[in-house]
Amino acid sequence: MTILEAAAQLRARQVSSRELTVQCLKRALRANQKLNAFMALMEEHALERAALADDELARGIDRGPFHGIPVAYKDLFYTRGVRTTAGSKVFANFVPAFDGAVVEKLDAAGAVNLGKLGMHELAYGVTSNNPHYGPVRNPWNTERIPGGSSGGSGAAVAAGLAFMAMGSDTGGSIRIPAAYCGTVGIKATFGRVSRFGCLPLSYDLDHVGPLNASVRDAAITLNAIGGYDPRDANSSRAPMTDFLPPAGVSIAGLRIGLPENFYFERVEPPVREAVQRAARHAEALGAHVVPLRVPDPAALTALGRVILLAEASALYERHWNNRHLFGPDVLTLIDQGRFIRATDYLQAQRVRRILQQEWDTLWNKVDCLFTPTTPVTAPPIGADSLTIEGVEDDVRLSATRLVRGINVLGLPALAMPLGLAPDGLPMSLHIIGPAWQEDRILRVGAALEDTTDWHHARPPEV
Amino acid sequence: MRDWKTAALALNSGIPEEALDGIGKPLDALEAAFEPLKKLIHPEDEPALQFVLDHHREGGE
Repeated sequence: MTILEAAAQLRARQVSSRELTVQCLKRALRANQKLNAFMALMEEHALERAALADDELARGIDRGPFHGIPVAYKDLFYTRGVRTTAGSKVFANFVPAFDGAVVEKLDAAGAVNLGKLGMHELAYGVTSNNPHYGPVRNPWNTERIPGGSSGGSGAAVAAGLAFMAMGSDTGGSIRIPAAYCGTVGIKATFGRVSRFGCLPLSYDLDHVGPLNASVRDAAITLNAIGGYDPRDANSSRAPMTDFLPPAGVSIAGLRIGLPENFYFERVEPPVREAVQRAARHAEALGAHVVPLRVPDPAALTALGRVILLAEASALYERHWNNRHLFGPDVLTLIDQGRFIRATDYLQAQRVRRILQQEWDTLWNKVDCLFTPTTPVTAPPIGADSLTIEGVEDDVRLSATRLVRGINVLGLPALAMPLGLAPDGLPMSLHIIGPAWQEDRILRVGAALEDTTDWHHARPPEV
Repeated sequence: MRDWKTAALALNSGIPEEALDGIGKPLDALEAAFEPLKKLIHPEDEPALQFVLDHHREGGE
């Protein structure tokens, strides 16, 4: 069930928030033994909030579509009085004194917080194979990774343990788990959603955003969490709009760019064909598909890595010598970042601006881009490398290759289900738009969702 | 390619030698991808960094 469906049932008194919450908690308790999606379930708190939501609705107080809806948060969002670990030993005993901005906003919107979700250590990786708190597993196949770093968020939404799970994305960490778990995930324009009260990994690449069961649920989540926040130095005053696409939304006349370079190279054939099929489907809905070359995505990826390595290592400098606090993969990245020269960091930021200007001109030719989100379906837990069309690739670099550059540009991007590959695992479409045009990519996603059954596939019961 | 072990010693990094074995290869690959991009930079190109003073705040006494 989607949030919008549950919200309608709540208002029709066909279901109560308590019933929805109990159902989610029961499923979570059962599924967590296999998935390890939740770090902490806040049963008592959730039931209290659900009772309050029911009471308010009965008294005619309606806080909007999230009123009484059970949700959950990646364990790097500050939750007042509740341990927030970022999947790390560094924060093993960290109990925030206040809520993060998105927690605060959804709380005010009447959402019911079920608890905190597992993740890749410090949000610095894509597997969510956490050395301290155990691996999060993919509901489609528990021997596969859910992706990361918001792995618990992807697993929880895919398995129906929460109606929405908040994630964060520094180099693909919302969109990769959305892709591997078969959910929707949106990373809005940098500055659209406040990062206040979200443990950082990078100062200018981190984005906060949701994983959802549908595109319209992603839209209403963005409605609830977006907007200027003076507590976030990079928060934007860009005007908010209603992101919810109307019923029967049309994409006739829209120009959809299909990159001729980079995005379809070293991609598994079923994934490549599925994205091309999505483009043909959009064309059948009246959109124009425009093949074109895009400005150097490989360069964006290299810039993103230079910037992230330097910033993440700076962030954890005080722990450089506490090597026992980190898992091996994160420690290697922190070590690498110590060798990035200050001059290189600044040069990367200069080239970043040049490429940003080149990408700006792209939007004169097309309204959005279609690419795969990830080149492959979810890899096995524990795999370090994989082979795509005979070429060996690193699991982390492969997962981030098509998405990291968009963080460097700060552009909005939507990952949405694209049906199942022959291996029975989800594939994902990545829709990239110009800055501040989240409503456009959501309209495209909703039009596809309205006319296909790609998002109907569900993982086996766990 | 840089000699990462010498660099680590020069920085007095405290990174154990066995850990250095794992970082040289990815850094070399990153450097190979990144170095050519510097040729794109012109003197007038500013970094994508911001330091903005709030004009509503009064400075000084």
